[in-house]
Amino acid sequence: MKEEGLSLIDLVSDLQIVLVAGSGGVGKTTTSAALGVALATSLEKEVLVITIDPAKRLAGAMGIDALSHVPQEVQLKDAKGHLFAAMVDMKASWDEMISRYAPDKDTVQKIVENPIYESISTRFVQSHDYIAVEALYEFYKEGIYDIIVVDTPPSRNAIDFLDAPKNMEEFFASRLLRWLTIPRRSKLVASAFRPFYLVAERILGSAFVKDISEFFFDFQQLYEGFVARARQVAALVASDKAGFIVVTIPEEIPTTEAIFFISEVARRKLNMSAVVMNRSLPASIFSRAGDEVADKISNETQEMLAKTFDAIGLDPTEGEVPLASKSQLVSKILVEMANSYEGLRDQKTMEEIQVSRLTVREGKVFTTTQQSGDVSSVESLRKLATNMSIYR
Amino acid sequence: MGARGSITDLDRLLDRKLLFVTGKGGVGKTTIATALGILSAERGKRVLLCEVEPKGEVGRYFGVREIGFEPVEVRTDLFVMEMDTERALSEYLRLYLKVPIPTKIGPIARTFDFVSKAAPGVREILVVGKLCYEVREKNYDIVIADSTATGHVVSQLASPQGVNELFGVGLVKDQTKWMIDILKDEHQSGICLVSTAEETPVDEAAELAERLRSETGVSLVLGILNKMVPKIFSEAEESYFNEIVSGPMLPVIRRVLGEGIDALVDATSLWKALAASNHQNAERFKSSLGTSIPTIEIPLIPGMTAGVGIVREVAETIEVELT
Repeated sequence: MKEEGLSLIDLVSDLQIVLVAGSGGVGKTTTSAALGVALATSLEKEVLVITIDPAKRLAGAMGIDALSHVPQEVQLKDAKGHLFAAMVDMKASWDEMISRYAPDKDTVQKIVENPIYESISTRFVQSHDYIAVEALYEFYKEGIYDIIVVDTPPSRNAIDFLDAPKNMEEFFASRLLRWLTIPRRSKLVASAFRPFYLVAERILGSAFVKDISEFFFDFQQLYEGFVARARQVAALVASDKAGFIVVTIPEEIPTTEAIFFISEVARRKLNMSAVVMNRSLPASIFSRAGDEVADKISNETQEMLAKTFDAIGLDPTEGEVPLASKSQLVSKILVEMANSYEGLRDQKTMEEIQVSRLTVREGKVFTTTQQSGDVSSVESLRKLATNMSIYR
Repeated sequence: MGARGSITDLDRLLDRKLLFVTGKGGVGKTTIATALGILSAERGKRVLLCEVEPKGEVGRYFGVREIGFEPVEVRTDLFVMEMDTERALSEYLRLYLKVPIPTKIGPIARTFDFVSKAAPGVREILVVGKLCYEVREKNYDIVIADSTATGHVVSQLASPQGVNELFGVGLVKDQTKWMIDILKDEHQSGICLVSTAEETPVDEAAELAERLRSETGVSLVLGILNKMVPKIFSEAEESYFNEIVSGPMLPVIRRVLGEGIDALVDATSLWKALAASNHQNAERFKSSLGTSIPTIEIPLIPGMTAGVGIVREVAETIEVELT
């Protein structure tokens, strides 16, 4: 199968939702931004990139001081479409969600003023995943954007993101919630659960148990809105409008996580678009001739160096450095050059092992030679996306 | 081995009772934590190494497949466990509620597991509480936590203080005092912050260092820059390298050694660029931690993936750097 000329942009240009996933530290945010820039440049489309917690410099690279909850346009030169970027603000999204689903203003106020709310909305770990999905759906529903690229949150396990709507639904239906809200629902039933509450109060303290119980009692009134939304979101992610891009780097652990993610996407019958491997080493550096020279330097040092010095000795280059220490310098430099070449080649070999682990599961693996600190402007983001090449 | 002569930085580091190893995902926390575990055990200490977010990595290093909440001795004096908040909870209930019959713990533990999922801080304090408990009971000479990635570790380390403030009264509140005493004592507890010398990990490490200082009160005791691409040339060598590749010497060398020398020139240039960028980020890392906190650099080992071989090499580097 010849896939030359196939570009990542072509693969995702018909999608409405592009979900960029992967373990922490693989360049997920940068990849999302680069993809957004490239899509808006080459297509007559309105493109939105949403991210959870972007590196400050990335916002800078897109020409934005600080990303906010409200999409801001990214200035692109010679672009066919438009690019917008937004950051999901946990607290603001929670506030919005509460007011959307609560039956009345009173309930909103009671929930928001409960001491538990502050902790839940900023620290409740599972909620980050749900909020990201929720924010995505909100933007999608607005209908302003043709393509939304989502930089998925760096959760402990990238797969949690997929389960977020289901988890939220389960949480609402859980026994936990029923138990916690008993004292508010019925004095009669509450007495049956007295032993439980006595123990709970002994361990957690009565004020805390009361706060929790009240919070979840109010929160439960949001059930229908939440669950209906969670189902719609899950359906959207499962539809052929959405596709996943899994990002990794040429190392064993991130690649193992990427493979796990790919298999989960398949198991759930979701749409896998491609794999992107960042920080690949350019293959063009390595050659048989290079191997031979590095070998010569590493293995036949004495003889080879003597020959080299002789040759250089014939060279009329004048310098302030005397010949003896000059030859020492040359030998040191040549040895280090061979070491650099061999070191990078060993890295490349390891990279190829990781790529082949991926390609047996997902044929479309794109590589970038992006190194850390490479991204400083919209132009560099554009280059990053357009220079992605399919691994052959 | 035993200390010969003066006390080294490594001795001081490992004389603590509780070490948290943290940093952004993918920087090599588990490798560093395991290396510190090996070094401690080699010094005759009884060590508990805990994978706080279990991925089975430590077990894989030692060729032990099933490691759970119960510590497994993977080599002499080195015990490994995987954190499990449900198990930590039933242990807690058994210890403090004095529920006499083990079978009765089940339903109560399940109930509280529900609560711990919703109640802020409970899950976190179970993790920190379990680690502090092993310290307080002197079950081990040192407890090393292969901690969670950036951000979450702050919630964990701050949880005793947070719970202390959030919970008006109750057993959990009473239990926080002794944990805070252990955590805030810099001779007992410390954090090792790991990063790679790259843009984003260093940014996040700086942010994390600041939050650890202001929100947890646990001391940062060591900065570790992992997978550093080392500089290969001194200044004199560097300028002579430039002279060779840009002047008339290169064609001569090419004639003697072969065309392949050009590939070596490219590789060396790439290596130098990586090393320079690493070096620059390393300086940023050091200045964000401040001069009072020692920082060590661990070189990249080309072509090696995480595993017991690399742990051995990392341990040796740490030993040399801190002695």
